[in-house]
Amino acid sequence: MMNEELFQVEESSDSKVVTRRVAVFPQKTPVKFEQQRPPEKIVMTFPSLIIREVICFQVVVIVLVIISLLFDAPLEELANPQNTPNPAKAPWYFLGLQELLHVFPPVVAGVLIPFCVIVALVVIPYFEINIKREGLWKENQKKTFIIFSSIIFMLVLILIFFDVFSIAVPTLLIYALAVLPYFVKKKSPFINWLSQLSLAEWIMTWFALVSLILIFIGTYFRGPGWSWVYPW
Amino acid sequence: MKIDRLRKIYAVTSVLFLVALAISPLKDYFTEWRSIQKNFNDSAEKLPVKVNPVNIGLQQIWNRELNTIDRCITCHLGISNNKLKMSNQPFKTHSKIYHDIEKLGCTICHEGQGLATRYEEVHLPTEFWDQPILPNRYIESSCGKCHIGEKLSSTPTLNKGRELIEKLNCASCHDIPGIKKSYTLTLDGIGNKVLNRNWILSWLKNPKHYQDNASMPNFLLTEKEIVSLTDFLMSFKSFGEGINLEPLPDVYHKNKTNEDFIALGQTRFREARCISCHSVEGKGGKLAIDLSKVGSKAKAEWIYNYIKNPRKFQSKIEMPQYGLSDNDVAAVTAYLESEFVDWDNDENESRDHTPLPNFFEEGLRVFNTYNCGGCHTLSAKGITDNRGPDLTAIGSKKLYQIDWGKADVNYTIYNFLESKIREPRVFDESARMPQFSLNEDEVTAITTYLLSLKQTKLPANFIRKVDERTLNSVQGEAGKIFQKYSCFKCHSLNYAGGSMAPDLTIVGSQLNTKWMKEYFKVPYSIRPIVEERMPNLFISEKEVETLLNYFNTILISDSLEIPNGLLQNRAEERGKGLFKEKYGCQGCHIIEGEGGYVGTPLDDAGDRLKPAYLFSWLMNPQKYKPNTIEPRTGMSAQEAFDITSYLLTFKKPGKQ
Amino acid sequence: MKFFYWISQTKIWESVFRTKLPISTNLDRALVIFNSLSLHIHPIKVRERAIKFTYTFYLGMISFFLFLVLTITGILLMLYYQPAIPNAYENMKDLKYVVSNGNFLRNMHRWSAHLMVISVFLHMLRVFFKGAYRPPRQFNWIVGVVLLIITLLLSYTGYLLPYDQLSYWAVTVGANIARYVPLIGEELSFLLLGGNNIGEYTLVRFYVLHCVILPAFMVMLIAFHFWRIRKDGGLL
Repeated sequence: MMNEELFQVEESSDSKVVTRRVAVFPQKTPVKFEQQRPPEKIVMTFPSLIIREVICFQVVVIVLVIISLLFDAPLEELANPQNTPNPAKAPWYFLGLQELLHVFPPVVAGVLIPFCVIVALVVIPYFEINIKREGLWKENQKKTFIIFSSIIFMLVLILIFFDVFSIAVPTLLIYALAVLPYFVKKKSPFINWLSQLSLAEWIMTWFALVSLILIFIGTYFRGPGWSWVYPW
Repeated sequence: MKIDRLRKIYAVTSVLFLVALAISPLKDYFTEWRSIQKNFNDSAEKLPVKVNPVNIGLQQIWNRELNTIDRCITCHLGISNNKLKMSNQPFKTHSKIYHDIEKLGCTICHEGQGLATRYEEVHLPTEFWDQPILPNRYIESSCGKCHIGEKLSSTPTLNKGRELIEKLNCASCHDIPGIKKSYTLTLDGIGNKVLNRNWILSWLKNPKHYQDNASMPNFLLTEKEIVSLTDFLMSFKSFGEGINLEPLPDVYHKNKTNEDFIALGQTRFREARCISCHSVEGKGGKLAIDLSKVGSKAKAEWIYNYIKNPRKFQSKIEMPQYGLSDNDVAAVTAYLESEFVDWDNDENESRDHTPLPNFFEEGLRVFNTYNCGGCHTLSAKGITDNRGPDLTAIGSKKLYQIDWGKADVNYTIYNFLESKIREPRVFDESARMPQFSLNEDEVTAITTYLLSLKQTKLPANFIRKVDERTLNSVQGEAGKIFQKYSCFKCHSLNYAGGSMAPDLTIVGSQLNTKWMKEYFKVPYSIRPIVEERMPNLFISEKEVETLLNYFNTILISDSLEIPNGLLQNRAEERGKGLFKEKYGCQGCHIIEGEGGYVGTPLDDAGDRLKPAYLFSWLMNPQKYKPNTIEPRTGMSAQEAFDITSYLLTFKKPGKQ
Repeated sequence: MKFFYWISQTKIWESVFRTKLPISTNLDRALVIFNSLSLHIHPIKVRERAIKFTYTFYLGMISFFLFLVLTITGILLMLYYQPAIPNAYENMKDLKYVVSNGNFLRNMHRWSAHLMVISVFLHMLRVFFKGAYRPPRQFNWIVGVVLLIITLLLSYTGYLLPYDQLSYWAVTVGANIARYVPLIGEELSFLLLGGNNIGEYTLVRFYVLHCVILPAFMVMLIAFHFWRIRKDGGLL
């Protein structure tokens, strides 16, 4: 009898409709009503979310255990200030920075750029352009194209002046994708998707791609004297 | 996703989660060393002798003084257990050494990663451990870390390495602790010494072509370098201030083709036992140059002058100055000139040669580049000391400091040294080090010695440094005689010096003065199967007196004595029995014309040996000659006395 | 099962979990959250879409779990670690060869640290592209950026601790960058290293930063970050 009691589970009575936020009134932005969306399904936190969290934790640990059993953490010989390895490499997440340090003056690459990145990240939520997030080509396409192209052109010129093809190439790649909707008017899902991306999203994509490429180059393609080598 | 499905996933991940967490402890439990210890305990039970099983667990030797931790004994469980001599590694007993392994630890000698507990990381060269386990062929280098300059009988390879380094005069270019620059031959007057430039040309090309045992290595010079260096050397005609060649005496010019005269030269050549040091067509000693083609190399005038007084030309040469008369020397010269000729030498070739205009600068450059001045002195301006790397701590050279070039070797310090010694240009084409023609044993020996030169932070009480003063301690008149006849080229004093002849430290207590006096006059080979014998140096009577006086006053031992209270009567008779029956000495020694050929014949023992020494020797031969093969029989003092008494009865009637 | 049931009815169970078994109605389910610490993190009900894997990829959650693993393994590793030269390096060898599961712990710590840098960065990208920084969550975005920087600093300070060649020179490269800061560069580098070069004091400094100062900030900010998620609407 007791067991029955224990496992007598009431059919889910998750309510179907719940009040939800319909408008936000930030200080500087004009009042904007969100589009009416169909009401969302609401579930109980326990167990729906909690079980997911526990599974997630277990999976994380299992994956870590497998990695730890398969790969040993590196340990080289005792540190020796007399023996400078060539090249001396920073931890991988700083290799992008080290790569920049190789091409730009130290103050620019080591101080200015990281500082700007942090500032840029911090101020993101305070720009209206970020809040609105309108597609790059939504209005005044020609003007946008000219300004956008000339800024990119200047940037690439500076990069090529410093011989930084590792940034110039992805920049041009992103640029090509960004201006694609301007030239190709044919409607296709891909073009539509491209055209609705905002400038902020393009910049962030560019930043992520460049960081990735620089870290990749720094890790695998740099040899003695920070010269270009092939890992194979 | 339905909650039911999530529950199933949750069940699966929970099991996997627990399993995953259990893997590492299990792996730890089934680790290599643990199974080796279990294996040891299992096999210990099956052994016929009782071997105590070990407690499973990591074991280590912590040497507080050295700050090393060696975990080798975790698997090498039998190193200090004498019962496991016959078992296989890793349980085998350590071979006998004079140190307490359990205190000292393992890596002080064997190197390798003592902290590690996995086979590969301990034994094999790993990427991030500079000092991998030392292969056994170099193990003696570790003895040299503490026993600096000591000639231990248990380190033959190390000793051989040091001797070779001394002999090859490595110290002329490298700073090597414990090794002094051994010879500097002057090249002054070489242009006046050699017959013509052909000899220098062929010598520089490869000294080994002229002479198999040439001590000069092959510098692998280019044709151009050889020509300019030859012309450069040929331009030095003066032997130095006040040193002139005495003209050959008339007797030489008159008789140089006279067969009797040449025969006299040959007799003197034999009596002086020139071939103790020199070789002739490969036969003879290895201490000095080969004489086979000397007649085509040097002018007769120079040979004559040189034999008369070698140190006039080479102040540091070890060739003794024989007490021969001018007539004898002229005869020897004539003998050399007539017999020891290179018939292939074409004299005409060199006559027409005109040197290039800048031969002197060019020759000097080559001379300096290869640091010829390291071994040779030359009175020319502009000679610089252009030494090679300092080898003071070569054994602890870090691998990153080594430029491996394109050489295909495992990156270890011993491989580097071996390859470099074997083939000096293997890592870098433009290296200057010359090619020594060494066999593999010699390469190993030199490598062993070099590996012993560590930059260690060993505590001071570990270091055993030998005093180097012993050889120069012979002062005064006797010292001069020792030097004149280069005694320490063959003999040693306190085991420093040459190794060809007996040690002289207590010679005054060992040998009878009368016998030595005779021996100086006519040296003979004491052992029947050893051809080497002391050369007849023609030492004057006065000098012999001085030497014997020195032997009997300084080179003696106070501890040699026969204890009192031994039975005196019928000792000879008992000794005979012991000698022939109990100890079977005749297996090695000849007495009354019968016996083995290994030991010294004892028919003249009474003439030769002093009683106290003979007695002490019998008690403990190794005390007086550490590497002698005569067994230490452990005979009683009475027995030793009896045998001594017996042997002392043997005297050669003629000599009395 | 009887035993389990009995346990769940005891006073001790009740005092710990507050919610009595069986949990069979939505009221019970709500009470589990309501009666526990998770009320501070989670609402009682959530939108089903918000907890879908494809919506957030659980990147924030993964980052937090990695931090949890790092804390646990890190504390265990601290038991074997001395910030001294050459003890630090020898400790690594001991961990590898002697300490039970030492190598495993070190591997876990190392790889979680690398993965955490990746997951935090990906989390940031996800938040950006989903526009989840928009009001009222602006400030939580900034907290997130600070958390990213602390993650990088934690990883960087931890990098020196084994004191092998790899860590020494990686940290040297990083410290050299600090020298380029105008005006105060040299002083900054001196402060960071506790000297002109990396040495024993650097090791102690990095050790304290890695084990005390930065984790303390991290924990506080994570708590704040979570609280803000909940306050700013969170999963509901």
